[in-house]
Amino acid sequence: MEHPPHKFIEELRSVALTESERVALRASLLAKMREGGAQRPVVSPWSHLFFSKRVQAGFLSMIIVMSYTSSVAFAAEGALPGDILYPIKTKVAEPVVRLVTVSTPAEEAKFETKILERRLEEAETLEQDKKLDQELKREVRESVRAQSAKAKMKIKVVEDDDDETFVIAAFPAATSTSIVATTTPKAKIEKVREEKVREKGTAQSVTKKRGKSERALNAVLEKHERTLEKLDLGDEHEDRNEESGSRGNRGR
Amino acid sequence: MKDNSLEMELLRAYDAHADAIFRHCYFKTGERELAQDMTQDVFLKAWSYMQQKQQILNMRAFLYRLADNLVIDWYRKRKATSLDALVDDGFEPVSAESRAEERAEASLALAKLRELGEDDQKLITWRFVEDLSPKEIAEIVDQSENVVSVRLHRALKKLKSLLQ
Repeated sequence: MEHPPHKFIEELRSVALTESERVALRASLLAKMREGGAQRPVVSPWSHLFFSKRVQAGFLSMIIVMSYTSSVAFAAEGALPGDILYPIKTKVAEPVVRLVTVSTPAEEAKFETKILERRLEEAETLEQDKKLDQELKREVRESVRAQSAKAKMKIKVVEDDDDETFVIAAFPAATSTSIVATTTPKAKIEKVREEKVREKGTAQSVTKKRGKSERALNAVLEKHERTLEKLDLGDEHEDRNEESGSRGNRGR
Repeated sequence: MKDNSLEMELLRAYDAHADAIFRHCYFKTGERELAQDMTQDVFLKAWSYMQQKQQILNMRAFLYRLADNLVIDWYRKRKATSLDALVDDGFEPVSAESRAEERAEASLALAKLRELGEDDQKLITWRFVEDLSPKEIAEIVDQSENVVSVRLHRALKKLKSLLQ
């Protein structure tokens, strides 16, 4: 193979590190090599916690308990009355959700209504699956009744709050009326008339609000009654049975 | 003890090939300080490779390969960063003084070498300036010796026409 001109090659070869550059670079390289060789991994100041066997055992048991409880709670979500996990659903999972999500009386009423709907759905599912024997029927009836009473009570609390709002809204008007009484009779009559109109307006808005929550309550209760009737769980039915039983007895 | 022998091996490689690696980086980048940094990085990478108990069969070819990869990375980064962005970040283009220095250093030969394409420039330098055999070059560029020989022949022809 031919070669490029010698001069060309020599010129290119003349490009090199100077002696001082070579020595400095060698020293720097050696220092970095040794620095890298002696380098230890950065140790976290908290590492001793993780190396302690007691702490490790604690973490491990906590993880086991958390994963166990969360998986049990998850499995319990679909449980129905009579299932082993049903008490976990009603006595653990639901109270926890209540504790976390509910903060005002209105939210409480809404939550209890939702739980009531849940109880009714459970009863329907049991009925569809033909799993409702006499004992389970009694159990379901009790829990539906209890939940229904709870929901009614919470809704009543919200309504009472509305009444308080009404009183507070009405009170300043009454006070201002008594102040007006010290002014001229004509002005007094005018003021009282205005106050009456304002009072009427406030009362109307409160009534509207109360009407809304009443309607919500009635809707749930209607559903409640319908489901109970459908499932043959209602008081009336029970009473009717008792009545016909006693009539029969009397007939005999 | 083993670390010491590895250290000695690398320092021997440095003494033998530092200039060649520096030249390779300098021909590509045209910046003396950058070429020095790259030279150091090449040997540090080789050191880290040796420490992982990896066997290096041909140290010279291995060092050139590392250097070539570093240069390619540098090209990519340089392309990705526009000059405007660099100036915004406070980068000052090379001063007139350092340009003059570079001009003095960049001989006619270097200017002609840079007129060759990327690959031809590498082949000519490795074969005729660094005295690598076609077999060693083939190892670096991961091609057959025959292909390297053919490409070398063409590159040399091109260089000759440039030098006329």
